[in-house]
Amino acid sequence: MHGMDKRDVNVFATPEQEMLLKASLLKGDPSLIAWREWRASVNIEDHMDNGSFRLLPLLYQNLRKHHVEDPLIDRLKGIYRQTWYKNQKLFYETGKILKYFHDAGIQTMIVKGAALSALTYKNHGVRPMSDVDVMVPFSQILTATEVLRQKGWAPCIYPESEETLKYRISLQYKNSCNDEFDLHWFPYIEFNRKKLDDDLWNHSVPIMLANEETTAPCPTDNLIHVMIHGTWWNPEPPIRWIADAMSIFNAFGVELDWERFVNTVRINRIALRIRDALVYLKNTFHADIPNHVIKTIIDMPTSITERIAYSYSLRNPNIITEKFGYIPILYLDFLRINSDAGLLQSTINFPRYLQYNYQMDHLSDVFFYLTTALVRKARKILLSGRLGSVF
Amino acid sequence: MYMFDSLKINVSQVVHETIDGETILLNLETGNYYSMDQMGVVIWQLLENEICVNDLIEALKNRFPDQDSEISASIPDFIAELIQEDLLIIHERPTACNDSRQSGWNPLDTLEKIEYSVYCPPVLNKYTDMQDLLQLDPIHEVKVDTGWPTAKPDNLENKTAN
Repeated sequence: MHGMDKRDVNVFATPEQEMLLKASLLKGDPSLIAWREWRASVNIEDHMDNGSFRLLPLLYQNLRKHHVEDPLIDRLKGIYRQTWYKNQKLFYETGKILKYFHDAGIQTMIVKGAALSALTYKNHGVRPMSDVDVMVPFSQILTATEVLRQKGWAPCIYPESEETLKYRISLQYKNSCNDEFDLHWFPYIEFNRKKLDDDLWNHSVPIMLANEETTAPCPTDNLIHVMIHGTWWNPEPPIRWIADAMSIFNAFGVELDWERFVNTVRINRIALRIRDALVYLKNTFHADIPNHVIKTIIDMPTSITERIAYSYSLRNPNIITEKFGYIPILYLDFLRINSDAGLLQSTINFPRYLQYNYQMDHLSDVFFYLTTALVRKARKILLSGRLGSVF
Repeated sequence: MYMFDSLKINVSQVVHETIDGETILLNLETGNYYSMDQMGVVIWQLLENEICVNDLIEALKNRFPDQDSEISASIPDFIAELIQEDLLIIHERPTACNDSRQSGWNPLDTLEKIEYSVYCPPVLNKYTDMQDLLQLDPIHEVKVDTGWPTAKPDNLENKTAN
C-alpha cells in the first residue's frame, strides 16, 4: 500500500489468508505448498474469519483439480454443495425478475457476484453470495420500479425518489416471501454517470442466468468493479476481491483491454483504490499486469477529496463514529459520490445529502439538527472537562 | 408405460452437477435436494442423452450380463422415482427407441468406460428439510466423513426443535 498505515485495514490478506488464497488460486506446486502451510497453521475446528470461510468452496475445487487427499475434503465438498444449492436458488428467483423486466422491454445486466459466477468462474458452487445484483439502464429505472411494484416487490429501506436516484446507485428490494435482490442503475458510487453509462452497456457481454438471456460487464469492467467493491473496510474481511480479481486474470488475462481499464480509472477518479489493488496483486500474487498500466495509474493526479475519502474507506468506520458520530461518515460518503466536484462545492451541497439520509422534510430541519447536535457535543466536552478537574 | 418413451431431464425446473463421483440435483420449484453416486451417476449421464428406459436396460444388461434380473427389477423403479420427483419428464414427442444411437451416440460407449465390475442398484438420496439443513454450520455441525447436508444427529434434532 502506498504510504498507507496497515493498522485497521483488512482489505488485504493476513499471512494465513494469503496462504489460503494461494492454495485456492494457484496451480501445481505453489498451490500444494500453500495448502500444506495453511493446513498446518490453521485449525478449522477453531474460529475462522468469514472472509476465509467464503473461500473454502474455491479451495475445494482447486484441491480436487490437484487430486489432494485429506480428511478435511468431505467437509469442504459439503461447503461446496451448500454454496451450490444456495446460489442456484438465488439465481432461480433472479431469473423470474429478469423475465419480468424483459417482458416489459427493459434491458438487464447482472453485476457483482452472480456475474462473476456465470462469466469468470463458470461454476455456481465456488463463490458464495448473499444476494444477486440486477442492473437496468438509468433511462429505464422508473419503468423497472413500476414493474417491481406490480409484481409485489418493495424497497427495503430507502424510498423510490429522485434523491435516491441522485445519491444512490442501487436499492434493495424484498417481496412477501422475504426474497431479496439489489436493483442497480449504476455499478458503483464513483461511476461517472454522465460519461460512461452508454459505454458500460455497449461493452457488456451476453450471459445466461436461470435460463434467461441477460448481460454482464465485460471482463475489463468486471475487474474494476471487483476492485472498487472489494477494497473497503468490512467487518467480514473482504478478501474475496483478491480471489475474484485473480480469477479474472486467470480466465481472461490476454483479453483484458488495459487502455479501456486506464481510461475508466481516470474518468471515474478511482486511481488511488485501483493503484493499491493492482500493486498488491502484482507483488503478492504475481498478477500479469503490465508495468506501464501501474505506472500510468500511480502518476494520475488525485484531489484532496479523493485522498480523504479513500483513506477512510479502508478503515473501520466505528473508530470515527465513536469519536465524532455518523456525520463525518456521511460526509466521506458524499465526497465519493461527488468525486468530480471540489471540496468546497461538496461541502455546500452536503446539507441536502444529510436531509435525504435523515429523511427530513425541510433543509432547515437539518440545520436545527446540526445545531442541537453541536450544542450537545459541546456540553458533553465541557462537562467531562469539569468532572475531570474535580477528579 | 414409459418403457419405450424417451425421457429427458426436466431442465426448466432441475439443475444438476456431477462432482467427484457424485451427482447433485436440485428441484428449483420444490427446493428439494438430491444426490446419487456410483451407478446412479452413470445412469443419470445416460439419461442426459435422452435414452429410453428399454435401451437403458438393454445397455446395462450388455455391460453386466450376469445381473439381468437385478437390472430389470431396479431400473424401472429408479426411473419411476425420478419421474415422481419431477427430475425427469417423459418426452412429449413420441420417439422410437434407438433414436439416440441413430444420432451417433451409443450408451455402451459410456458404460464401457466405467470401472464397476458389479452392478449395484442406483439409489436416490432425497433431502426435503432444507430450511433446517441450510442453517447447519457446514464445518462443525455435519458428519465429518460426508459433509453437508448430512448433519450430526444431535445438530439436526436441535435445529428442528428450535
